[in-house]
Amino acid sequence: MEKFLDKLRSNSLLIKILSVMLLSVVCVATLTLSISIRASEDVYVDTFTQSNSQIIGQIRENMSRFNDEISEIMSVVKNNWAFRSYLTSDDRSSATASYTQYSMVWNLEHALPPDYFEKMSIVLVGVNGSTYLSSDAGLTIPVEELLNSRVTEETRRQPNRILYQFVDDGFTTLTQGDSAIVASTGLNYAGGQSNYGYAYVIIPQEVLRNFYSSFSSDANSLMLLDSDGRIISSTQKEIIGFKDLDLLSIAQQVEQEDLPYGETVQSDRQMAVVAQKIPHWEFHLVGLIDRESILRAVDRHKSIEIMTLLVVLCVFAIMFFVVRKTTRPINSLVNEMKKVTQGDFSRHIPVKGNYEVRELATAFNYMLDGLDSYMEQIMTMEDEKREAEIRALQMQINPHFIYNTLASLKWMIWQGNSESAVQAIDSFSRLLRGTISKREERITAAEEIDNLKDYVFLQHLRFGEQIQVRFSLAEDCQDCLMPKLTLQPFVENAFFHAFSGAEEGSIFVCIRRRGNDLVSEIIDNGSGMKKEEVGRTLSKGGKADHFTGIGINNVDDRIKLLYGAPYGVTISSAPGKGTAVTVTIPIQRMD
Amino acid sequence: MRSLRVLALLLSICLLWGLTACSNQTEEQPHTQATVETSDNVLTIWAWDDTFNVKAANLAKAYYANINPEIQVNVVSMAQTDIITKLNTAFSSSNYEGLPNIVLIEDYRIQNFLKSYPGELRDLSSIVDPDRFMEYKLRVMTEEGKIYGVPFDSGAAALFYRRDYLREAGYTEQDMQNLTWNEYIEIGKDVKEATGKYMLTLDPSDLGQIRIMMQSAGAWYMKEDGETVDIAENEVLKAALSTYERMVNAGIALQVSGWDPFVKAFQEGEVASVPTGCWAMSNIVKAEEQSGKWAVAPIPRLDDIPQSINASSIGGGSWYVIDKVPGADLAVDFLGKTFASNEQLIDDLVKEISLVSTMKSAKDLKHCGEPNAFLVASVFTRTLLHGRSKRLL
Amino acid sequence: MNYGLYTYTMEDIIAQSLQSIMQGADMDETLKTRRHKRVHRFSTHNFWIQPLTKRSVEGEKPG
Repeated sequence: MEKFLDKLRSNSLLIKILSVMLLSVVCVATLTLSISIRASEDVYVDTFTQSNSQIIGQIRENMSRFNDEISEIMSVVKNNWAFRSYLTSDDRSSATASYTQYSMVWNLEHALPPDYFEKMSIVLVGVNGSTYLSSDAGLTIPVEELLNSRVTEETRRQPNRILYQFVDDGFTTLTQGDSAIVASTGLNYAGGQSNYGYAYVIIPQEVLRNFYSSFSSDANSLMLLDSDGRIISSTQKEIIGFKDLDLLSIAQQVEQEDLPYGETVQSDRQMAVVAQKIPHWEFHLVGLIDRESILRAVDRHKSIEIMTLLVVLCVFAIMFFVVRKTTRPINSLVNEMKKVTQGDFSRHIPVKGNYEVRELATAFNYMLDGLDSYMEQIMTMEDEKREAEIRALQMQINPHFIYNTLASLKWMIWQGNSESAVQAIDSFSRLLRGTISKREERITAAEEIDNLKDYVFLQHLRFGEQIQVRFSLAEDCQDCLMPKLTLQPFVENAFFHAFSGAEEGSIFVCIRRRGNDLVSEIIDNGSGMKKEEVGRTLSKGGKADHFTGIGINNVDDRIKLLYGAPYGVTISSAPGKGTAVTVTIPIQRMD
Repeated sequence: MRSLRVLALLLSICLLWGLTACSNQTEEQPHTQATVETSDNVLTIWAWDDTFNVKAANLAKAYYANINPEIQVNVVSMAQTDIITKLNTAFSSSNYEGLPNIVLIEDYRIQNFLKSYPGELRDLSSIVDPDRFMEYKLRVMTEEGKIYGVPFDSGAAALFYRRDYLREAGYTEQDMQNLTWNEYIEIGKDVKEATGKYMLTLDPSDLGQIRIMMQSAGAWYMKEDGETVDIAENEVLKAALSTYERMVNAGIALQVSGWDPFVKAFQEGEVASVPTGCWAMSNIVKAEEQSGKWAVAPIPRLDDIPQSINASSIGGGSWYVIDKVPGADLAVDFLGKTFASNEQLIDDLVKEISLVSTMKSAKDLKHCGEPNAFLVASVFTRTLLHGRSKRLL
Repeated sequence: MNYGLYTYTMEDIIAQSLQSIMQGADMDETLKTRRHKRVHRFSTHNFWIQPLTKRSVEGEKPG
């Protein structure tokens, strides 16, 4: 888990970019998808509805043409002498009657268009009771009943028009058993008051349905409404004969206001209503379009959604690889830079990746180099500073020593000890030369021993020879370099402090090699120090009568400045046992 | 780099495939097919005249149900002209949608179909034994030695008349035997005067009477070859036309147009006689209250034409199978087991619808000689059979 | 009896001739002229029948 989180963290840029891109792509896709689906749904439904309007227009045309055909038949019946003769005459048997009937039948049959008229019944009825029916059909009701029926009553009211009326049952043997529409007209003499007969064309439902059923589907049902709102024909047989006044008013509204469609709700479904009036028939052709059904038929949502998902995934996959390729160099840059924080300044980071990353890497390397050289400069400066400090420190000869030594010299001269005075002046001037005047900071070990000898001579002169100093210098260390006045302070210290109480003592100075180090030891057999005193000794500054202002601790500091931490001064002492001072410096020889 | 390119290519291919798969899905809308839909076990039969042909078909259906109960048989009653129109339309456009398996076709019309639409009707030689049926009937349905139909009714003509009306006019049954048309016309005048009833119906658009008259003399609109028109010098035709004119001018014929008024005329007792095919019998007996009032006599013959005898035929039909309507084999089986061979069925039909069969063994059938409750003269079938056998042309 | 192919077609023609004859036309003449008419498979006459002017029609005049 930890590893996983770490991985996440180290790739956080990648993840951030990808998240943002993914979110954007998904947002865009979803938005576009829903807008276009919505838009296309609307367009589809509107188009469907409009094409339905056109279909309805087409059906209207067909029915209009059908009316024309019926008109023609009615016209023949009305105008041809044979029909009139047959329906008004009582002559049933003469040659004339034969001729009349022959003509009537011939004329009617030649006026019939071939298509669907064999399914329809043409009925001619005379008020004299004579009848003629087409296609071998017979009346299923008595003639008087037909003449007194509602259909004929209406026809009587408007005898010169062709009326289309709904009947529950066709009244011929051919059309009985189902509802039908009866086209009827009155037969009369022009200008006459009464009809000598009536002509009917019975149009059964199956003929009516021919007009519109091929355009109907689950989504879209067509029907005919008469002017009373009665449904006189429909693809849904159950509703034939019933009134639907709401639908009628909507249809009328659509027709009058010339709307592309109206709206209604049927059995909880949104329906679009297209309607057109059929002239002559005085019926309304109404189409009900179920929007949901249409849309269900167009249900490609699933496939579109799946497609979109696929596309988004593909795009995301491509994005992933591209972005990763771009951010990888950044990651490696980050990793390399991390090393710097851990202190490793030496390594350049590889310059690869895209332009921006390469620039970064190059600049970083440049910066590293700059840092590096800067650091070197600083170090050099520090070194020089150190050198200067040491030099400064080393320059400090204690003036009191000079005064006291000169005083001693003056005493010797006053005592008449001129030999010793001359030696003392020699030693003193050698000592001064060996320390102050010498420009170099470092002298050889041999020269330091000489300095020490001179110092000891002076001390003996001033204070007597109770304390003896012996020197030992290894052969191979003769020309080893060491800083000026390294050992002198310790010898001096031993002279002044090591032998409190005792009159005599020995100091042993030994310089030898130990590995790569030059080890100088100043050992005395004095009274020694306790541990706390050792610390104190080390921290003391130069006292009044010391040769230089350099204290013992200075020596340590100096050595550490010059050579580094591993080198320096250590003191070991125990009360009553004496003291051993060890000065460790690296072996360096003159180049 | 390379792997990325490959990946990109793969992904584009996936996208393309997905798109095309999508668009294909939209073409899944079902199309309605305009194929002829018949299930394997349904037969459809078209015939006209509910009381005669249609009834016969229904009786055959009942017989067949005993043999093959899973088969459903639909008998549809239609006007003859409608049937003819539909067959013509279907055959001329090779569109068999809505056609029946078995259809009744009048003998006058069958040659038209056989010659104009070869191959549309199935060869029924396998089920029709030529020795079993009257030759004159087989002749109209045979083409190049193959028999295309199952003969049904003979169309033998007879004179049905109302005994009561005739008696009122002073005529007995004896008087009605073997008349000439002129004699018939005279009787008609007397009947009109005495009873006020017309003697017969005439349809100016349907010259059945002319056909009866011509056929009784062995003549027709065509010469023997069936190709040459025989009108201008056709003495029989002229005699028939003259007789017809005389009939009309005598005022004894009630002019009717169409089948329904024709049937209503005698069912409602408006005419005293019906000189037509014996297939009319089934319609005559429908007016039950007239039971016992009708009698039958031989059809009158033409005066002045020696060849004319007191026997003739009009109409008559046979059963045919439409070859290309699915179920043709089943139809052949149906006819084979009913009208083509089943004497029991024929016997029943004689009783039920007064069939005058063209099956040769008909006269040996049980019911033929039985007195018909409707007709006093039990010589009905015998008369007709006699006439039929005479009229072998 | 060979009915031939054109029974009802012929009959349509004869029916028309019959009407003429019953109206008084000469039978031989009528049948002769009719004979030359071409025989169609189905009767497709496309003309109206008008009242004959040869003899006046008994009964009502055309209204």
